Amino acid sequence: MIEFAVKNAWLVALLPLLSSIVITFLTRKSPVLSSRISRAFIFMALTLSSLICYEAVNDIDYVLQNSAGSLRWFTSGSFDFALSWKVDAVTAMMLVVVTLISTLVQLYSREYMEEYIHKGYSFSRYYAELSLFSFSMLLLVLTDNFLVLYAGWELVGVSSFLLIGFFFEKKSAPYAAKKAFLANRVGDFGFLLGILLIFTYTNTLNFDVAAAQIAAGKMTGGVLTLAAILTFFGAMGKSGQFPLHIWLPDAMEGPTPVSALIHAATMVAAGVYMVAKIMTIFAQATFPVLWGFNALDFIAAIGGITAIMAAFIAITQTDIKKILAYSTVSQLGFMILTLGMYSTEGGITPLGYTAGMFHLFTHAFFKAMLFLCSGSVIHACHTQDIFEMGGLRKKMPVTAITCLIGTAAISGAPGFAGFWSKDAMLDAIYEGNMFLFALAAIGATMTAFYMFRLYFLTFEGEYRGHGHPHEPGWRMKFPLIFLAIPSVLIGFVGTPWADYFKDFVHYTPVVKHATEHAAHHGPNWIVMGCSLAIFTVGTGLSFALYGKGDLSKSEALSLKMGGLFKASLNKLYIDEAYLWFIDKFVLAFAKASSLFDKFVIDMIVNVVSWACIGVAHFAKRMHSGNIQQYAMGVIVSVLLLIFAGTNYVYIAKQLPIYWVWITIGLILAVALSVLGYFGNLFKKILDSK
Amino acid sequence: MAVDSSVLNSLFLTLIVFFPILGGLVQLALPSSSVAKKIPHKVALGTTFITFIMSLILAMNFKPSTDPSSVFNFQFVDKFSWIPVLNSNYHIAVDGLSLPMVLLTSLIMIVAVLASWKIEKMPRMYFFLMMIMQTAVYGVFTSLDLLLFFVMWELELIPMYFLIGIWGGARREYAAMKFVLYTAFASAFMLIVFLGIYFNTGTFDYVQLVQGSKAFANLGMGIQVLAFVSLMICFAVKLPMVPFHTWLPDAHVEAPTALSIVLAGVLLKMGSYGMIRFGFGLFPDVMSAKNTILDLSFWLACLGTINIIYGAFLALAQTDMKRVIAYSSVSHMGFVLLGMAGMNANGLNGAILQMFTHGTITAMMFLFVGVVYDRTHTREIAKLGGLAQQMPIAGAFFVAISMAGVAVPGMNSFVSEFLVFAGSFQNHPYLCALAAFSVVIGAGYTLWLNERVFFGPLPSAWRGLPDINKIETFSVVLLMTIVIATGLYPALLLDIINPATKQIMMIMGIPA
Repeated sequence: MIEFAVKNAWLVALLPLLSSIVITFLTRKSPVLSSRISRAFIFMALTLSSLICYEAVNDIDYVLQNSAGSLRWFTSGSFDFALSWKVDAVTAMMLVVVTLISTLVQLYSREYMEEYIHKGYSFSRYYAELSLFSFSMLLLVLTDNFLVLYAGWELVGVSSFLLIGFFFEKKSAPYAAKKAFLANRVGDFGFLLGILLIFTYTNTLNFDVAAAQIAAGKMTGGVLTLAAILTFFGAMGKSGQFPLHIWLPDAMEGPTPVSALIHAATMVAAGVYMVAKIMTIFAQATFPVLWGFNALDFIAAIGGITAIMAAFIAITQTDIKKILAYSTVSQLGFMILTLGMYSTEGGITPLGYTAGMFHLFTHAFFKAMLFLCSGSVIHACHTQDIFEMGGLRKKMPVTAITCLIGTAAISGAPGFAGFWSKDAMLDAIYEGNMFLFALAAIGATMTAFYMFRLYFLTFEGEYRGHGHPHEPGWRMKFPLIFLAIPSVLIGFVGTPWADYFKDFVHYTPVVKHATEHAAHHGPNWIVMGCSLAIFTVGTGLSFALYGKGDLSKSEALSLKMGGLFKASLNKLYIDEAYLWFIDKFVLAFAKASSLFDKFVIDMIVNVVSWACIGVAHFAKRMHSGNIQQYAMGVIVSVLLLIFAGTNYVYIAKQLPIYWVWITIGLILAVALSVLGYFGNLFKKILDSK
Repeated sequence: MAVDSSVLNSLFLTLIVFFPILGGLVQLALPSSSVAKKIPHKVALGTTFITFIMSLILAMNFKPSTDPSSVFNFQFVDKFSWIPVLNSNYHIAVDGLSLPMVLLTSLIMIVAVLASWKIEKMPRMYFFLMMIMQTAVYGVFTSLDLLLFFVMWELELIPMYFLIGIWGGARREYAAMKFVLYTAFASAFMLIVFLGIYFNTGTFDYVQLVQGSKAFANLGMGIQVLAFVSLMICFAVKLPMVPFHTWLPDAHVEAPTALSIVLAGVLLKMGSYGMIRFGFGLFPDVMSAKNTILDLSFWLACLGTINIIYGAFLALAQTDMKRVIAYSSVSHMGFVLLGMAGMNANGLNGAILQMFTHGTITAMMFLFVGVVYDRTHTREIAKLGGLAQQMPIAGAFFVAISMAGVAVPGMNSFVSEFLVFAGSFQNHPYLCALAAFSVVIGAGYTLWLNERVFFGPLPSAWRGLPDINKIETFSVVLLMTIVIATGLYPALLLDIINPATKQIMMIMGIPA
């Protein structure tokens, strides 16, 4: 069975695609059956990926040797474009994460979406799109070549477009869907160019071969750095990095389980995963381009900016899903920042690489759980505003406890999953760059602050809303409880004392050679102390302000903060800046082009046609029947011909001179315009009859 | 008088080319009482359907070239002496370049006839003209004799003039006149070049010209460049290439749905087909490094990029649904130019594939403009909205069509655009990078259109609209199946196109 799973790894991706196809074509009319099919298929995919991952943990070499496969997709010239796949350690890990979260989300959705089904939305469409989403993500996780990666990448964009715009009769949902697609496309534009650069220089699309070709000197210097940065644009789009993060908070227009899927497993993870997967290429792009930045510096800087910016915005948001959205943006920023950490020897610090991947791994569990908690709360309260919640702990104890666990995990409470991964990240950043470490520490403190703010305002104090909140049924509770376990425990696979996670990821060919010369790295007590301090300060501040679950203290403080508060509340006006740019430049340019097209290009065409009418008009007049006039014409023509014939040497000499041509051109243009004017007049006279 | 010995080969292609005219003559023979029973419609459908089946048989019996040394792979050759005084032959055949176009024509014509199902104004004449046009288009794609090509090229104009001029919208006469005059004006350039070639070499035969006498090769590069550019101008009008594109939106807006489908789906490809077949084939040295006068590949890439970006911005600014799609055609046909300018296997394959993919996708787009217009009697985007609530199946299809329009994987446009980018990036990286930005703008206007027409709240005026009917569903399913099939497995087409591309490159002396 294990052998079958490893040798047919492509099945993991194919199963959700199949379920999507079956639902669309066969069971569209029976929603419950569709949901069952979808859940069955994704569960099979989960089983297969668990087997693959189990084998990868046991015997990674077997997986590396037996999981690869390739199909000819099409041929151009003599180059075969292939659909190829391969499983390495990181891939095996991602397969489990994606299929596990997908399975839980699909189970959860069965209950959560029921009320919308009664409003007339199609369950079948929902599950077909959800399956397509999982397929796209699994495709890009499984592949080992750039074209298929790009294809999976785009498909993730498509399925997110479909799911974010699920409530298509609203104004905001299709808008958010379009925004997500466009922001992603901006990133994809760079991604495509990066891929094209790598393809042009190395003449291969395979990750490993391309990396080897680059190592062999096929692509060096500024071009390589440029290619790496352009490729990273794709990650900026998908993983919501500044300045392309704007779509992520709006993507909350989709159903909440979809948000859980997007934010934990299927979409935003893609960017981080891609950077990790082709880390060997990034790590070689050490040639500095702008202001001495190389590719990894650029990645780290973008990650750092994103981490702190999103955390700053999250502090004042009141929509429970938006807070979680910005927290995702911020956490992704941490991961990207960590991936950008490199050692001075030129190889990659396994610390940065493994820590980034480790946080991606742990974050998937508790972020999915937090979103599902928020879904449970929204399901119960019919609002997303945390100011209208409060005191829910007594009414929904399971949701409250799981949410508290998730909050503790993401804030880095000692022992919880997030603590270990965040500690690993801070450790890596500490080794790399002290300034970024300070930035990350502030960001992490803010994380603890706003996450506990969310928890206190939602679950503590008195209920401020008007509904009758209650605990959901087992289909929604089960995923919450199930995810609570890894949120607490999964961190123990990667403690500084026994880092099984690192040893596992170590076997990814990408890092293998780099880690081999890295010394064993024990706990860094300074960083661990910082981690503790960060958690204590953040949580403490939050407790002081919101601990009782009331808003009086914070409102007073927000008035005092003035501009800073407003900037955070209005998301640093980044959306407004985009809209201004699109309106004032893009659409204005489009309108200007349209006017140019109508009044310049098309006008020339019309003038030419009018000129023909004008010529005809004058020509008609010449045929007056007057013999003297004809004779005059003949004489003038003959004289002109004689003049030209006797002076042709002179005329021929003049012809290459530019002003002769300019004069001729001007005369022609004037003649054309004059004729066009008369032609138009004549045409109007004709038309008026 | 060489007639191939194999049964299928002899006259089979001729049968395909002229079968539509037979169907058209039947239309003329129908009694007027048949109109009420939609007999003309059914006869037209039968004709196009049979031609489609025959083209499929043609495609299945076509053998992609395996001989790496041959520059030709013409099959189903029919060659008879036509005008002996001019040494002109009736010479038709298909190869990997024309076969996809023949298939596309057969396919699009079925859809066009189905889209004309509601025509009540003189249906017999309408379908007669349409069938003549189909024959002319087949003739353009299969002719290997320059004079025959020219005749077929002009023959296509006449029915189109009447079809737009009689069955079109409010400004139909203006649009029809503009279309015909513009194209006829441009084909004067082609006639001059073809006559020049004839007087220089004494033959109109494409095969002979490529193999032996090489058009103007004896007259030096200056004349060749001039002739090449003249020929390209003729085809550029048809493509259409900026700045010769302004007839296109007018023609589209005034033409009935079926004609828009044919125009964007097939007729534009005549331009790009001519460029590759006759521009590249007859003047192989002009685009390559042997031409030291002008770097034409660079200028072609420039024009392609302008087409792509300028067309996309124009599409973004439109307020009429049909104009958005008309300008998106300008943008997408720019990819064909850009791919050709790549001057390598990826670029040319991408360009040829793009001709096919654009034909299939844009036909669906215009079909859906027709669907919306039939029901709401408006194409003003501002007045529309929320239609997916009334027409859920139409909404779902339109999302799929939009996705094909923005070239997502799984649709054939993804492959063609990627190949165009991969090919042109090698030679013109900056222009390609500029053109690649259209992935954003293209997504912008397509999804915006989608959002404003089908999504959001439903204005009360549009309550109670019927969803798409069976005929429309059949058309869109037919096209969508082909878009997805060739998107998931592009080798279906590329295995035919790629050998032809290699042969073109061999003619032009580009190393593969």
